[in-house]
Amino acid sequence: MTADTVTEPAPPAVSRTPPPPLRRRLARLRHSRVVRRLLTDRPALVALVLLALISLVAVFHSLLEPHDPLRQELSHINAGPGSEHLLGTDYLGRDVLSRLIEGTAPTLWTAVLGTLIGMIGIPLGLLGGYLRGVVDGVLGQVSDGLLSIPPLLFAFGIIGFMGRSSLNTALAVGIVLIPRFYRVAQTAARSVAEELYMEAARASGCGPGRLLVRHVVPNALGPLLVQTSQAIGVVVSVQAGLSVLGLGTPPPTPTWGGMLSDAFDNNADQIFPMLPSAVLIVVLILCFFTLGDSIRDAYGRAERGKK
Amino acid sequence: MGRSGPRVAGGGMAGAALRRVGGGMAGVALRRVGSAILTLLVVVIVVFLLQQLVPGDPAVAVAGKDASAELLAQIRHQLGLDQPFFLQLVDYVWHAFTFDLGTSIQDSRPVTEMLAEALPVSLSLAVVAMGFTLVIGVVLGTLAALRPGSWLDRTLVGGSAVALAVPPFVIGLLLQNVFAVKLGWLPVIGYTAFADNPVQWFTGLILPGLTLASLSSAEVARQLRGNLIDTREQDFIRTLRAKGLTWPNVLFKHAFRNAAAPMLTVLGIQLGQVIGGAVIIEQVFGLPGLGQTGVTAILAKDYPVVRGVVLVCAVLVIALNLLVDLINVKLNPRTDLR
Repeated sequence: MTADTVTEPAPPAVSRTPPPPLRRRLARLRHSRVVRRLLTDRPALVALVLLALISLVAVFHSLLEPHDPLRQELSHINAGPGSEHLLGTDYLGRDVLSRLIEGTAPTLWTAVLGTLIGMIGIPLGLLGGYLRGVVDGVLGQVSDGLLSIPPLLFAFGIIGFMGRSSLNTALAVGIVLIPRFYRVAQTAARSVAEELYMEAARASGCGPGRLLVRHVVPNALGPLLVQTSQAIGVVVSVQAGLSVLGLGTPPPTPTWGGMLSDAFDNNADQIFPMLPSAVLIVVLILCFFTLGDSIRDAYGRAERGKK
Repeated sequence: MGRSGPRVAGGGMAGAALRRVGGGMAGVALRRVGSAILTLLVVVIVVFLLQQLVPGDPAVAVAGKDASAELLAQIRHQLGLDQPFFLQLVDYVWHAFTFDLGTSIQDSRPVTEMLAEALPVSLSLAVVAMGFTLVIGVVLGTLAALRPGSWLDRTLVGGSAVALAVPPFVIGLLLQNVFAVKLGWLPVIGYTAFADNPVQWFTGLILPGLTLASLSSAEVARQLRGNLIDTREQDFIRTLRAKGLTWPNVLFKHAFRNAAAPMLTVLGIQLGQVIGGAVIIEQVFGLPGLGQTGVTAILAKDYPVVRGVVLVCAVLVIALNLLVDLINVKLNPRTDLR
């Protein structure tokens, strides 16, 4: 056995050259099945197209803005929609449409950054689920504790101590997401760890690192993708919530949540000023949630309550 | 039950000892309580560690750069910063478990006193919201399950998926605008204590309650519908149907009973969500609850109060989860010996 493991490192190095094409082709095949299912799922397609559009707007914002999003026109405050300002102006006479376009990138950026920070939970969860024992016990207990603090409140507490800035918003929601990613990764890793092929791989001399990367991660990919998609939606929601509390990204930078909060604070008796930002926030969240559901379906996990 | 033998050593030993003490179910109950206390400990430590996130010296952040040395020293003392780190931790945990959360820097009052004032408001909101959740969720879920696939069912499933994506404050802002500002049917903001005027107490909580319930009732309806329809495929229901009972008949007499336990878990989770969501809804509707206390404290950098608010909400959630767990163990002993 020992002799085997000692001589083991050599063969993979040799055999590494031929397998990749085959393995990659297999991976691609499997991948394509999921992708194919996603592409025939109409809600997922709509969500993907909308997200692509929103990302394009975020990238080319400066080309699309009809006005300077920061220029104040104090003679034209709280104007309704018109030919000059398609969605009207806000309480400082700034063009709402331009501000929505300008706010796309910061809104998306915080959401993605927050989710990336939350993904720190994934390797921890994989380790916990794979190693079990004390590591899992301790990490599980900590994540249980963190999960019992309501997410918005936790983010709110973190911002309370760190101070408000867009980076801190991302950090706060990221920290809130870590135990959630941990749970998903841990569950996935634990269920895989007991499979026979894991035993086989281990018996044939596969080290823990290789086991994790080659066998645990691919099998946990589905649930993790679902979680990621939903997490981004949650982040958008929490981020906007923090803005409404006056704890989001500080003023000069427009974000959708901040605009909603502005409309509410300064023009509360009118319903129209709140609508554009509110609708965009809901659409963005809905896109990510729909995508999450569709990915789950595409990976063939029976979703309860569907048909 | 014998299956619990080859589990991890620690839990197995504790489990065995507890079984010897109080038999299967009591043992499980004790274990649940034990794990809730552990969770609580983790939360207290996390809440303690929050203060480490303050960039720079917290005392300077509170008092400003030009503060006198005495003032800084006093605030450091108030925040416990004049002690070594480990002692601060032990101190905070010990005091938290003896219901002492320190003194507010802004108001110089005990934090627990401030929280005790705000708690009834938040709890009132949570109770009203849960009432709405239960009524709306159960009615909609049942209606959908009565005729799966009907237009009503499809609308509800689709509608609840959308409702889950709408942040509660968006719904709150819209409801407030339409029913309070435009139509003037209900108060826009403000809170009346139940003892002062129960009717006004309720009318003031209708809009915020509905706001919070919008999300959780969608979730409750979705889960209930799923459970009821799942039950429909089970053998005993098929037998009942074969005996000539109609689906609505079976649904109300038998399927409901089976859906009760999972429902309870969902309700527990939703109540936790409601407590978390209340923070922001309170701000929208001007309710002087925990959320508002927290926001005011954050803006004033009143760290002990911020900690207190986070801690109390987490404790509520943990207590609720424990309660739901215990009721579940009681209702359905076989699921919970793992």
